[in-house]
Amino acid sequence: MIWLATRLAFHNRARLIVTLFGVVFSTYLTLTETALYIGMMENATSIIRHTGADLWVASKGVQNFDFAKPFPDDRLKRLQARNDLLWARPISLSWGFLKLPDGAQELVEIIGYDPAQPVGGPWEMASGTAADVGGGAKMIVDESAEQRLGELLIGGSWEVNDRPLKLVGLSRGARTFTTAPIVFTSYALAQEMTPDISRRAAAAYITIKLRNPADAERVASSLRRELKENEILTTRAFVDRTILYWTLQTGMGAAFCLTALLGLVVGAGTIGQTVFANTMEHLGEFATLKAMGASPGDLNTIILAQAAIDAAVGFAIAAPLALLSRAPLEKMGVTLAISPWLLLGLFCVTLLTALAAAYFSIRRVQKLDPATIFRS
Amino acid sequence: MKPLLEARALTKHYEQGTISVAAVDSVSFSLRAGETALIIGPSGSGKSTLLSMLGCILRPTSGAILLAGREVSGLSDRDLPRIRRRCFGFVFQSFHLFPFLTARENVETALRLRKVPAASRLRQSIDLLEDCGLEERMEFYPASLSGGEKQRVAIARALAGDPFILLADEPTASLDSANGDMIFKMLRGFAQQKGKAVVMASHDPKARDFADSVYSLTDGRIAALNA
Repeated sequence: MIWLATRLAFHNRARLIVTLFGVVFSTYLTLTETALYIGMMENATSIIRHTGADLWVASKGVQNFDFAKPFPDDRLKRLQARNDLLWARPISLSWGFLKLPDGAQELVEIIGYDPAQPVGGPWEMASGTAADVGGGAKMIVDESAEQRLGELLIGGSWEVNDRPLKLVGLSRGARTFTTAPIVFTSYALAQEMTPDISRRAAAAYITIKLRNPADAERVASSLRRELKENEILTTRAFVDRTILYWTLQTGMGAAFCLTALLGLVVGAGTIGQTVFANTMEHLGEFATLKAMGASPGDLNTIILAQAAIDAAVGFAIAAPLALLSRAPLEKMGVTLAISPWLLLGLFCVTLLTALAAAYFSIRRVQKLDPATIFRS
Repeated sequence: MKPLLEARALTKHYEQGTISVAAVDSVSFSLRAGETALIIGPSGSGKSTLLSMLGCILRPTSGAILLAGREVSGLSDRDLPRIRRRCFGFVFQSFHLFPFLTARENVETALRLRKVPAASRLRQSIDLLEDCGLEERMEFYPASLSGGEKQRVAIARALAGDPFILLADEPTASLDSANGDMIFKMLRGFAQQKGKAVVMASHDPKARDFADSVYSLTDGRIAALNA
């Protein structure tokens, strides 16, 4: 019966084109909105996910990675004395201004890490190594910042918080939710550059690698008792908290969700309307099929297959369009995180929505009296 | 030999407000393989209702339908489509061909419903269309066929899957006299050569020449004219 559905779906070309236009538009909207949201969340949590740490020590009430409240880093020694930890490394985080060649200032996020054991530093390099920031006033900037900062020449000098820093490397894929460029530097230099003296000798986070990662909850409980002024989070919990913050506190999640949902509704409406119009136009044929002995399953298959064809063809056009949009959007600093899993997941959602949209057509045909065929 | 099709006191009542109207009232008749029965009667006499009941499309209010001796009118809604697929071929006044399929594909649809394997589906549909004299028109869409050709495609479709009863509702009403004769001849021929039982409902006076038994239906009541 899928054969019959295909013939029915492609019979009225004009209607098919109009339907596909609607489905492509709505699928593209849903896909790009979802990919945009995931891309933003990936950027917001990229450093957390790439440290390789099992646990994070943060200030109480930390809501997301970018808004850290520093705490004295003397706790590091206490942590390093514990037998159940493989290592503990501090990360500093502050905000500063980078002076552009034309004299303008650009807000940057300054991440300080230990160059000897570069936890919290860049994880992928386009040029240089993460350890290069050690031994002097040096920095690594992400290559994606080039559009904001201008040409990034290795060996060039830039002023950050009025202090000249030599560019020694370019990282890749290190971005923030706020889109402010990240400046990686050594933990020691980052502390020196902090204008607020009270924040020197202070870490934004201490990352911990456990000897036995399966012990994470037990060690976290033990650390909570030991470090009462701090919050102890597993990496997963910190990622979730950061995502929740940006999604819920800013209202961004609702906005993205609403737009993506709107896309699905428009798609479902278009498909539902087309399948219903096709069904109404061919009620006589459906009655004939019923009279000829088509089972309810046969008839449902014809209707559902039409909806599935519309959804599948629409998706097959929209997905490459979204993939093609990725490169130009990346140049504008917008990350579209389109993974095979996202494509598969959204295809399933689109398909299910389309099938649900066929409900009224199915009901109409189920109620159709095949005896009408003898009266027409 | 058992009749292929038997109606026993077949009755259909419709409720119109508080009044119950009998569209078909206690109709009984039987038909053997190779026979052609004609039901005549004015519009509204209950011919279409009777054909719908005989074809297991409409449930009778009372009475029974027997196919090769087996009572089928009490079967479930789930079983009735299977009975229609296996036992009946339908020919309609307005042809009811699928406009988006070629003549061959129209015939194939009936075979697909019966789950005939792809290899024999093509052969069977070509054979059936050839039997109906449509070898040159197989790949034509209904819109490109004449009325007579459309009805011949409908007959080929009705014969697909080898049902043993053909029900034809006003098969010549949309055709000219020559084509009408051809269709009656064809239906009668299939009944005799292939051992089918054919029930036709028709206004066409010429239909009597092609029927073994003629029944008159008036106000839902049947009377045999030459059975």
